[in-house]
This record gives sequence, C-alpha cells and structure tokens, in this order.
Amino acid sequence: MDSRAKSSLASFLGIVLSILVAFIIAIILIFSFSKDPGKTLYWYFFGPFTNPFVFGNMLESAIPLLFTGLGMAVAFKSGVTNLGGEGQIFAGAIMAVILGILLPNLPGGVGIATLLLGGAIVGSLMAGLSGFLRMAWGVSDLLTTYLISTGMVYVINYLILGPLRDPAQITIQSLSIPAAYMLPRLLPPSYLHSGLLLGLAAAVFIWFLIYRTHLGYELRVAGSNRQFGRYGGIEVRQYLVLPMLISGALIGLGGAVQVVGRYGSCFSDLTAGLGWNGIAVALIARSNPLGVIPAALFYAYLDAGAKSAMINSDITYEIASIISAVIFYLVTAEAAVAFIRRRLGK
Amino acid sequence: MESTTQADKTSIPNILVEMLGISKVYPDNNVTANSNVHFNLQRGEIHALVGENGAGKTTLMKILCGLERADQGTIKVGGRPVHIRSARDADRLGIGMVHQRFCLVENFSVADNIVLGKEPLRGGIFYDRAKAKQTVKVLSEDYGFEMDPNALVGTLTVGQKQRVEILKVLYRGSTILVLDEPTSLLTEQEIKVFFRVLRQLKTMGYTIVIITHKLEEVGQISDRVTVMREGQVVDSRPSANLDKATLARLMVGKEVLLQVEKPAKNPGLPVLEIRDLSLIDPTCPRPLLAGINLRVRAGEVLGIAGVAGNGLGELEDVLTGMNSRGRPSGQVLIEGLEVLGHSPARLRRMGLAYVPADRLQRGSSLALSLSDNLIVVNHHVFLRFGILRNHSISKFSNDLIQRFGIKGNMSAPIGTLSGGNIQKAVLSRELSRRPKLLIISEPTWGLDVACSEFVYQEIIEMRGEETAILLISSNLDEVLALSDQVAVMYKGEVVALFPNVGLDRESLGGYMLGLHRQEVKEKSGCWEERAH
Amino acid sequence: MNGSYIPAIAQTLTIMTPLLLAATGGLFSALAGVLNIALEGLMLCSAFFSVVFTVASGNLFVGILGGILATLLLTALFAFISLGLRANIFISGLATNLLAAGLSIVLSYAIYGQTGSVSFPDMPRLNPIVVPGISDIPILGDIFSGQNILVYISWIILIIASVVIYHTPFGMRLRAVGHDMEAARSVGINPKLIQFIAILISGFTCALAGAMLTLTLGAFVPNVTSGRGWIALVIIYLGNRTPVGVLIGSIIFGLVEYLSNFLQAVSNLPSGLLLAMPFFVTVLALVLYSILEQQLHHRRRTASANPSCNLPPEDSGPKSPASAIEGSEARASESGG
Repeated sequence: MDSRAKSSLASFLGIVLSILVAFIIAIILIFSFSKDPGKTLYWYFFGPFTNPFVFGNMLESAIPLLFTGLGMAVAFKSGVTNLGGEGQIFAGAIMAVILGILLPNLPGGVGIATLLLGGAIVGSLMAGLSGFLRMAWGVSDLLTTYLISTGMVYVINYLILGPLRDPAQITIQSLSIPAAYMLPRLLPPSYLHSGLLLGLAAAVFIWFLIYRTHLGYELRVAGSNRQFGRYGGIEVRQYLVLPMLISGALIGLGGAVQVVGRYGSCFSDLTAGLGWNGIAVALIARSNPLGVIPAALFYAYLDAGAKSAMINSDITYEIASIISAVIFYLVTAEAAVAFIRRRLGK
Repeated sequence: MESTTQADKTSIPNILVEMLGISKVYPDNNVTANSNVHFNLQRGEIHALVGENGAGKTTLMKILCGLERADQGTIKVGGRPVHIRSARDADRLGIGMVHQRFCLVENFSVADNIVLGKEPLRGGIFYDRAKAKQTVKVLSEDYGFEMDPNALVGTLTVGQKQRVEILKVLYRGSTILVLDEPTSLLTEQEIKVFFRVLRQLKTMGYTIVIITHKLEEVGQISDRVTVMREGQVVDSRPSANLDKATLARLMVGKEVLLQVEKPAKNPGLPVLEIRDLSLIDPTCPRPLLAGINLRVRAGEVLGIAGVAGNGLGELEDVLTGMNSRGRPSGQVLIEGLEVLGHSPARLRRMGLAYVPADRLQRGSSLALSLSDNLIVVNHHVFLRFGILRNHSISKFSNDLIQRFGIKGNMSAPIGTLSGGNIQKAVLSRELSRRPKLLIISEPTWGLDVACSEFVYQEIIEMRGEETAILLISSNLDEVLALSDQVAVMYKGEVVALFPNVGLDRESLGGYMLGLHRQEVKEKSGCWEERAH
Repeated sequence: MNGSYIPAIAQTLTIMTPLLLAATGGLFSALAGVLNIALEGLMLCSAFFSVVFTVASGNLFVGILGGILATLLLTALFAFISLGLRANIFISGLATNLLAAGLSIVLSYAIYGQTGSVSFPDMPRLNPIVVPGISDIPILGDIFSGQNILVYISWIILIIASVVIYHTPFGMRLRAVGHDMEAARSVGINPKLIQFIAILISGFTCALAGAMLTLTLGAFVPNVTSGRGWIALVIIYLGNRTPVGVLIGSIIFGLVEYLSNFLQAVSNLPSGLLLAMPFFVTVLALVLYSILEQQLHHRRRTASANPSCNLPPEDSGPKSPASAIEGSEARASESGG
C-alpha cells in the first residue's frame, strides 16, 4: 500500500472511528436516560425509516445542512474561519421573507429566484465583512464572524417580534411569503421539497468550482499555504475576502431555502444550531464538497433518530447535540489518526 | 580519519567527556548527520569544534546536551557511561548549551530569564524576584559581566543577550558549556569582550566547547580543535601552531569530484542588474545586504557562494519579491526595467523563474496534490473559460514527472512524497518554464548524486537556451562546476567577484570565511575585463 | 447631584461579575498561548449544575461546589482531547460549547422533565450581603455593600490572579510558555502541563461565573450565558492579556450591558436592538484595537527593538523542517555532490 492510500485510509478510518464512538455514546446515553432503552434504541436507530413521512422529513432536514456544510467546507478549504453560520442562515431567511413581502406579484419562478438571491447576498455580505476586516486590519475572523452573527440574531428576532410579526398567528412568527413562491413538495405528506435538488446541485457546483476552476484553484492554493501562493504569483490577499463571500452566500442561501421550501415565514428557532452543525458536516466531509452530501445525510439521520426517539419514547431531542459534540471531539483528534496510521504501517 | 594524537593522550590524561562511535540519521530526510564519531573533551579546556555547514557539529553537541538522541554510540562523563535522554539529564551532569538561536523570553527581564524554571522562592510559594535579581547581580559581577538584572531582554543588544544565555547556564551550575556559533551575530568589539569572558571561565575551571566555522577564532581562543566534515571527525589536535590554511583544507576537503560538461559560450545582453542594493533593518547593527552590485547576462550562470547567515537568503528574498523584513534600497533591473519591490506575481510575468531554498514551505504546498503543485505558476495556460482543462494538466504533469523522474502519483498530496521527489517537482516546475531569468537557491540540497547531476544538466541546458541564471549556493563544488562567474558574499557584502577560471575551493573558502577580501579596484577590473 | 448614578454603578458591578470571572480565568489560558473558545460552554455547564446541586442539597455552598466539580470534569475532558489527543483546539472548544448546551438540556429533561426554563421559587439564592463597616459609608456603602458573595469573590480572584501571574514561579512559567514555548522547553518546563493547568483554572472561574448567572436567578434557563463567554474572550485580547486590562474591559462591557438593560426599561427603543448592541460594540472595539495595534507595531518597527533581528539571519527566512532540526547546518547538508 503506498503512503497516499495509507494516509487517506487512516483518515477515513478516523472518521469511522469517531462515528462508532459517537454511536456507542448514544447507546450509553439512551441506557442511562431512558426507562425503556430497548424501545428508545429501536426508535433512535430505525425510527427514521419506519414510514415515508419521517423518511421524507429526514431528507428534508438534510437540505439546510447541505448548504451550511458547503459554506463551512469552502471556508475550511480556504483557510478562513466562519463561526457566523447561525446569524448568516437567519439573515438569509429573513431577507427572503422581506423580499417575499415587498415583491408579492412576481411570476413564481422569478420570485423564488429573487428570494434565494437576496438570502445569499445578505449572508455573503455578513461573512464578507469579517473577511474584509481581516484583510484590512488583521482583525480575527473567528471573533468577528461570531459577534456579527450573534448581534444579527438579536436584530432579526426584533424584526420577527416587531415590524414583521404576523398578528394573525398565535405563535410568534413573521408574515408569510406568497404561496406562489413556495418550492414544490417532493414526497407529500412529508415536508421534503425540491430544495434538496438545489442543495445537491450546489454541492456539485461548489465541488466543480473548487476543483475544476481557476478561482477554486487559487483559493485552494491560498488556503493551504499563503506563502506558496504568493511565491507562485497569486495575489493571495483577496483570498481572505472571496471565500468568506462564497461561504456566507451558501449559508444565507440555506436560510432562504428554509423559507421558500419549508416554512414560508421566519421565526426565532429557525436556525436551531444549523450553523454549528454545518461545521460538523464539513469536518466529517473533510471539507470535500461532494463529501458534504453523505455527511449531511448522516447528520440528518442522527437528528431524525433523536426526534423519533423523542416522539415515540422518553428521551429529549438535545441528545443529538451531545452526539455531535462527541463527533466534533474525535474527528480532528490527530493522535487517533496517527495511531491508526501506525497500525496500518505494521 | 585520525583520532587524538599520541601526545595528547599521555600528557593530558584528564578526559572529562568521551563520545564514542556516535551515529545519527535524521529519519525525516534520511540525512546522516553523524557517522561513527569519536569526540573527547578534557577538563578545563576550550575546545573548538569546526566544520562547514552541515558537517554535523551541532547535531553532535545536541546529542551531548540531550536535545537529540544518538542512534548508536556511548557517552562517558568522568569515565562513567551515562544516558542523556533530555536536557534535564544533561543539566544534572552539569552540561549546558547556549544555542545559536537564543532561547530567551523577550519581554521578561534579565533576572526572570536567568532563573526561569529554577526560581528562588519566598514563603515557599512566591517567586522571590528580589532574590533573583540579587543572585543575578552577584553572578554577573563574579564573572565580570555588566548586566542590569531589571533590563528587558528585548531591549538588549545581541552581545548582552548572549551573556544572559551564558549566565542562564552558569546559574544552573553547569560546568561544561557548549556554545553553538556564539560569535556569529557579534560585532568585533563584542567578540573581544566575549573571548575575555571565555578565558576567565576557563581559569575558573569551566570546560567549554565552542562550535564555529570562523578559522581565526580557533587560534585565538581554543586549546584544542576538532574538525568535522560530512558527519565525520576529520582531525582532532591542539590548536597551537595550526595555521589557517591547513585548517581550511581540513574543513572543506581537497578533492573536487564534481565535473559538469559546460560548453564555452559568449553571454548575451544583461538580464538582471543589481545596483547598490542594500537591505537595512533598523534594529540590526549591520546591514543585511550592503551595496551589492552584480549583473547576470543571458546565457550566463552567476554563482553566489557564501556561508549561511551572510546575506544569501536575504538576497534571494529581495530579488524574488518575497522579502518581508527591513527596507531594501538601490536598484534591481530586469532587462532594464526597475523591479525592486515588485510582487512575485509581477516578477513572474516578467519572466522570472525561482527555485527557493525552502522547498517545503515556500516552494510547495504539502496538502495539495502533485499536479496542483506543478501548475501553480502557469495554471492560467490550462484555462478555458475559467475552467481548468484536466486533460492538459495531466498531460503536462505526466510529462514533467517522466522527464524529471519524479516518483509519485500526480493526484497524491505532494507532502506524501519523499524530500528528494518534492525537490524534483519544484525544480521541474520552474525549469519547465524556459524563463528569461532563473534564480535558483541551493538546487541540490537533499538530492542524491544522480539527481544532482540531472539538475546540473538542466541548468546547463537552460544556460544554452540563453536564460540568465543566478545560482545561490553554500555548496562550493556546485558553484565552481556550474558558474561562469563567481561572487562570494560575506556579512551581507560581495567580497569577491571572479570569472570562473582556475578557481579552487581553497581560495574561495578563504573569501567565504572572511579571511580575504578582494580590493574594490580589482573587482571593477574584473568587470571591465569581462565586459569587453 | 442626586445620586442616581449610585444604583447604576452597583448594577454594573453585578452585571460585569460573570464577565470578569470568565475573563480572569480565560486570561490564564490566553497567557499560556491557548485560544480557549470553550469559556461559553464551561460557564453554561456550571450554570446548570450549580442549580442542580443547590436544589438537591438546599445549600448554596454545596451547589456552587457541585457546579465547580462538574465544570472541572468537563474542562479536563476538553483539555485532554485538545492537548492529549491533539485535536484542533478550536474544534474541540466548539464541541465543548455544544456538549454543554446539549447535556444541560438532556439532564434537565431527565431530572426535571422540562427542556425549557426551569425555575425553583424555593431554592436558596445568592442574596446581597451587607458588609459591616462598608455599608455605613455614604455612596461607597451603597455601591460596594449589598452585592452578592460572588461579586466580592470575583475581585478577590482577580487580585489573586495578578499575584499568581506576576509573583509565582507558576505565573512566570505560564507567561514563558505563552511567549516562547521553545525558550520555556529549553529550561525544562513542560508546556503541555502548564497549558493543562491554565485551562483548568479557566474552567474553575467559568464555573463561578456560571453559578452567578443562575443562582441569582433561582432558575436554569437554556443558553443563559448568551454569548458572555465569547465576550470574555474578546475582553482578554482587548485588555492586552493583563489583569488590569481584563478589569477595564469587564467594566466597559458591564456598562454596555447595563446601558442596554437600562434603555430597555426607560426608553421606547426596541429591546432586540439593544441586546444586539454589546456584540456590535465589541466588533467595533476589535477593529479599533487592531488599527491601533497595527500603527503601534509600525512605529515600533521603524524605531527599534525588533526581536526578529536577534535570530541569526539565515533563520529569518522561511524554515524547512530540516532547518528546524539541524539549525544553521541545514542549508548545505547532503549537498556535497
């Protein structure tokens, strides 16, 4: 086995190991928190496949993860840090709502495109601002992406509670976009919508962008070793901003897709950790845009399992975030990968 | 290989440290740093350990100080075999090392730096800063150092920092001091003071090893000298009555094995002209580059030789637009156009190809694939509507891989290749461009003989195709084998410039080590002669 | 002067306490060269567990102690995975935040059957204590007396931290590791051990900070920390990694939070916008700080004392792994063709 195959195998086994450990932790958690662990385990692991409704919903919950995962993968590939996923996805969603309310009479397709574009632009600007601050004055993008995003979450919540609130609804949510702007459902009665196709297309597109285009090439070079990029004649400074713009655009787009595909409006809990989970998805995918597809599906499965166990048994949904934390912990543990590589070496 | 002479063994039986049959291979790049080295140290002597860069001096001493582990061999201290596994073990045996690169915390005071890791306590818990200062004051007075314990290390001169490093070792109670190229950064004045200190330490009973490649220092300060070359001890003898010429010959060796067929040819028009190029870092006592005037013509190889640390790296950086330190002044012209301060991107558009000394961090991106690395400079030519044409890239990469015999898969990360193959990849990329100007630094570092010869052939071939080539190398053999003209740098200056006719290692070595210096007139005469 | 500023100062003191505590502990890891973004999660962990233990025992002291122990466990896990398993510390920090958020809700559900806010009207709370002596002094008495115990403790901890950082061997070694790991290693200091301890210390103070949040409230609210850990992190860097800087930063951010609370109460400005204020102010502060530092750095470069000058010239260029091994000897090794 040559060294290349060995190292990618070790890295793959590293991911498998992380996932296995995560499952073991899940089982332990279920045994300690559930009064009927057998039943809970069944629903946790097989619940998502029990009927088309839950299965469709599982696929649906993978859609926003595709976008946030892709956004984070672009950031990782380019050596920039985007911790603002929560705010960016929320901003993309509210922008879609605002545009839908302001422009209610566009033809359906044009309307959807406008809403999606608006969401992408807002997310892009938010992340791009952090990229610009880093380029211009060396301000840590790690901190500014988080802070700008968190501030924006409050602002958007204010919009939902105040100016954009739909008084006709009992629950607190924004006004809804025209029904004509909603994406078609793929597997009724589940919520699965054609945003899935958009997400898959985005993954292929980003993969193509990164691995097959001029821009993607320079982005990878600058992201992997800035000195080498400069040496090779690439103007590396701009690659602090550009990947942020792309990353934010994808994540903002994900927010807009949530609106036009699933909810039709915006509400406080819309993001529900999608920004953070996007990071986990990108990590599992080793920042490969095509790898984001199975990673997002896997994540959606974990999520759906937790939901199904919550509905059908006696544990709470947040068990999913503990399991993702375990995956986070292990997926970059170099010592584990080094250990596997040593074993393979023997 | 000679070992210690008979006279030594009988007249001075007082051997303090013995290193027997030490071998060390660095697994990362398979470099043999030490091979079956015997070294001994007598109580109360100053022992000079000399050799060229890469001769293995530092490695040998790092093994003694517990910073590296030998693959083979034994160490005896005071006649007893010892195992030195860490700096702490060496510390317990009273061995302390002063590194060439200072290990000081810049924003700590002198006293804090000296006692760090072995702090005096007050009340069992608190750091007794007053006592530390007092101890340091007494210590520095004892040894005749004038040292303010309160001064911040960051504000000290290089010479003062060095004294802090020595005090650090003395504070820990070491009696065997290993000093790695201690004078390389000092001014002449500071060196005098420093030597006075060493002599005083010697009279106080300390045993000192001084690693150096400055020949004049051997006679000035040492009692005995051990010469290393290519990982082996060449000679070990008393320093008295040892003339510099003999020493230089021992250091660089006599035989020149390298022969490259180099067809005679007349150079064309100047491609690169360097006029009065200086690089000044306001915080450094001497300029990093001082008034450099050089010219490289089409179809000509100008070789720049010099010992590391004398401005070769700075020259490389300034000429290629990678410099990030200090302010350059003067003029650099490529085909008559001023280019000083231009970005690497602009320089490359003007026809520069550049093989850096640092291939792993600058010359390649280890995480990217081999073919991604190969196309970094000219990836524009593989574009159609902004999309990379994979087919042409594979063809291009395969072509380079075969032509240069690179062993590696083109889609594997280049970091998984061996050092030599990474180097070939960098070379193949730069040489394939048929540039106007090639700046190539340490081209055969880490390559085996066959590879090196291949690289030489390529360079000569490019010379034949009217490329102007600036070769920067600390390997004298290759400078002599390839160059049409040879310049020697010492302390940031060009101290000699010769047409490469009848030159040999020994005479150049003298210039490299600062023993000789060409007169300015002589230098310009050389210019005139070559210009007509 | 009508003295209406007095309750303002007193309230700011209360509000800034969690920030001050978290930032003081975080200062230790920052000085050791560790970017600890887990402060948020560590605070949250204790915010939950100190409620659990207080409710269970009916005793505040036991509650806080329980919160501290639980948080130290999580901190040790975080430190072990980051330093021991060499996971990317930034990712493991995120994971710790995620874990704390998830675990607190899962356990809250398991213990109290609720996933939202759980309040305990009967549990003992951190009440204001009247400090005899101080309380009688006019103005000062109103400001400094009548705070809860953790407020006083936070100041004591800050003072202890200053002493430890500047006047103990551990503090010396801590700073040495953060400034120049190689220099520290060369005198036999184990940098990983120092970093491990530093992270544990930040876990300890974050535990107090978290306890402060919920034990004054008498309730556990999911995400009760709401970004305070991150702001503490910013405070550390804006405060130039000094105890005084941390104090000033905490006061400023305490004031900002107080102001947004105050405006919420008295003005018609929408509260959502006011809550966003601290975050945008922080970004602004970061930008100003970076601009200022860049100019200062520029001036320093053109003036004197550039540390890079002290390296041998051949080291100032890029480093190959080999040159790291062989020092100056790398340039020509293996080249004698």
